[in-house]
Amino acid sequence: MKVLDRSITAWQTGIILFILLFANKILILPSLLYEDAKLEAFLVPIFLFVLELGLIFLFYRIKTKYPSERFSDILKNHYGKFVTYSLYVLILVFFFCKALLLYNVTYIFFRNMIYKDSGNILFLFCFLPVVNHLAIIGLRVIGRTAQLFFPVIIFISLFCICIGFFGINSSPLLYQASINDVFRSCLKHISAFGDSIFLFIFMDKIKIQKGQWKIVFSFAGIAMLFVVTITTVFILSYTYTSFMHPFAIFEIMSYVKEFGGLGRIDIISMVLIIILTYFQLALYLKGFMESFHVIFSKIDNIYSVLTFNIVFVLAVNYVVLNLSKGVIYGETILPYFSIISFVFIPALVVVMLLKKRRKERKK
Amino acid sequence: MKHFVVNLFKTPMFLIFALITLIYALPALGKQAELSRYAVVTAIGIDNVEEENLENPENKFEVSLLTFIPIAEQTFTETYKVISAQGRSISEAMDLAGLHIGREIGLSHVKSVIMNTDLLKDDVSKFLDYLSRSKNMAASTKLLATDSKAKDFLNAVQKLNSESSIKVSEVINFNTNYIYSSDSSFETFFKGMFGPTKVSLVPFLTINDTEGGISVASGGEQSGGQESSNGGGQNSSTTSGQNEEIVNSGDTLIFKDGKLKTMLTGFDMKKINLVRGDYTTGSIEVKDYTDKIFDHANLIFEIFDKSVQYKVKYENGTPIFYINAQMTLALSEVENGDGMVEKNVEFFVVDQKCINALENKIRRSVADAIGIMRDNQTDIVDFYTFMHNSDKKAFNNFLDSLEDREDYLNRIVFKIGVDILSK
Repeated sequence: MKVLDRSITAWQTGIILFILLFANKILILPSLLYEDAKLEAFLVPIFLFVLELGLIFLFYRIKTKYPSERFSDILKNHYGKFVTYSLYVLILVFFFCKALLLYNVTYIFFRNMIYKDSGNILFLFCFLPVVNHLAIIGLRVIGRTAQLFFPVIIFISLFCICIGFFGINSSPLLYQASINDVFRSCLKHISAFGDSIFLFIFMDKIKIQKGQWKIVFSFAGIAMLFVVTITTVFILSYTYTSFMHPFAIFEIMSYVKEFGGLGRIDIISMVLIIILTYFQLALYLKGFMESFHVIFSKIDNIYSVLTFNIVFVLAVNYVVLNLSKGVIYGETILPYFSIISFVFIPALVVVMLLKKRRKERKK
Repeated sequence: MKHFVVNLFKTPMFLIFALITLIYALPALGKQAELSRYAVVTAIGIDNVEEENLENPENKFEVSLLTFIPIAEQTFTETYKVISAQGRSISEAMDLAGLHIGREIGLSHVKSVIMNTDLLKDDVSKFLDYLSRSKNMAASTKLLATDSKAKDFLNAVQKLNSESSIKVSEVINFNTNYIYSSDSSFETFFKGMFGPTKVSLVPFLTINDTEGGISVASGGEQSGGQESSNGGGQNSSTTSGQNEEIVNSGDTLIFKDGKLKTMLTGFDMKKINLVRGDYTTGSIEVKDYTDKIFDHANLIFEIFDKSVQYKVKYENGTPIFYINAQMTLALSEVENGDGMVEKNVEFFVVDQKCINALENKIRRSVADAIGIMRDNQTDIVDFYTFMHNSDKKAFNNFLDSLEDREDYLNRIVFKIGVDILSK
């Protein structure tokens, strides 16, 4: 099986980055953030996005220093095979775990809200073929398809945010949480962030001309702004009962629907969730496949897809598949994997950049 | 054509789509219609099980469901039935009610939940837990309480007319917007309960005959769909031919931390709402007013507009809470001691004496409202949030200085300012 990974433009990179930063933070995350950080929960994504921005900035630096090299090759040159393979094993597990959590949350959401009688098998039927197809057909196709859907994503997101403002009607109790609570919440939910490492592993496929970096950073900024706004609107709408409403973007619309009498306006948010889930699952699978390919470079790509699908189906059916398990898994196990994106990769990249600078100075 | 078919089979996504269609779409055609599977519940009543009605000694709750059962008819009349069942928990009673009716209980259309006051002696959250967890029930579902059996209440509701439950929830909506500003949805109830004051309000409706309040009368002539089933075939206490009224006098039950604290009358709530800025309609009565025009008259002024400003200052650690209400009033009714007023009151100019009388009246009402809240240690207006947000440190110091932190209302000095504008 041949995977056609052609290069993607700055716009496509920006849109993929937007999806990575935005998609998995608008459903259950705001409600979970409220549990620890109360009304100050909106600070958590701000703090964690600062880290994420740091990661994107490091990507910018390494991409400008090594414009057409593969990340795995740069790592091999600097740190040898052992470090490279170890890191890629961790990245592989990271993307797999995140895909598992994302699927689990989306499945629970749709089963609770609409398809009450539908089983997991139907959902797997609906998701896996499309996600596999997107991942196999190549990064450029994902980028182009995302470009096609991007106006829809932006329009629905803006619509949800604007409508959500009508739901804010109370004067809530401020300054409930201390800064310690906010940082505790940051650590607990750090695993929802750090997806930008996707850019590192595909850095050789990303073609960004000089002066086009602002496009990438703008998309990242918009995604961050959207996440912070949605979290704030959700928490200010539900205030003290935010913990009782697990699906933020849907609940924002639902609140306006129920108290404003605007029909089934909440369905619009479901469209957004389903589009984003497809793309993000495809990106996670793509990350998994690329990591697999680096570790087992001599075997066909079909094995990476098969491995993902088999382990995914087994894990979904026997390990998670209910919201509380998913949340425990997301809050207790996954944060450790964030070391990969917020410690290992930045540390390795910073050292590489410093070495490169020293070499350039010597010349 | 051959080329097209070959291309189709070369496209894996088409094959997968065809496979999903075959596996799921075709069997779906043979499925029973949802209308035949679900009973559409529009109102839920919850009662304590009385000892003489016990079917099982472990049963605690009786759940009654005002249910719309779709039946093919030539007319557009919707048929409602009250179905009830007992159980050790609400969920068990719900399941049994489903068994009685032979359908799944659909809660998506529930507009109101009626609780019997006997239940309210315990923590309300115990039996609201099931309903609050239900993903199908809307957060805007109204909660209300009655002193009669919730089942009897639903029977009275059922007899109003085909869309009666909606009307009852509209009566409660009216509370929220116009008369006594006490929204009573699930969401608001839990927001109050989990909020800083822990206070929630639930409207109290009766089905007694009464002269006051807003009443939704139910005639007893309609007997269709009056059947009641609670497993033992117990009949409803509402009999055909009997007239009943569902009465909303604005009475409100006050809960603190999910437990019933007290019941306030509609008049008490009216006074409390004078302190709240979000309530801008209503009337104020000045009794026994005499001047050049009026002789021992009762003057009723309608509130056109109202704004209430709060300010808090601390003096030696004690908070001084300023409530400044600015109201625009218009004379809407005169009950004169000596009969009709000759002069046209349309052009009545509110003089200083009348303004003073109004200000005194409003001050007294606000003081009464604060007294009610102090007596019951229930911060219905939510002074807590305002003081916390104004100066968290000073407020926390004040709370720390109290022996009982819950008793903060009694330690605050309230100063009331009233500014009247006439229209």
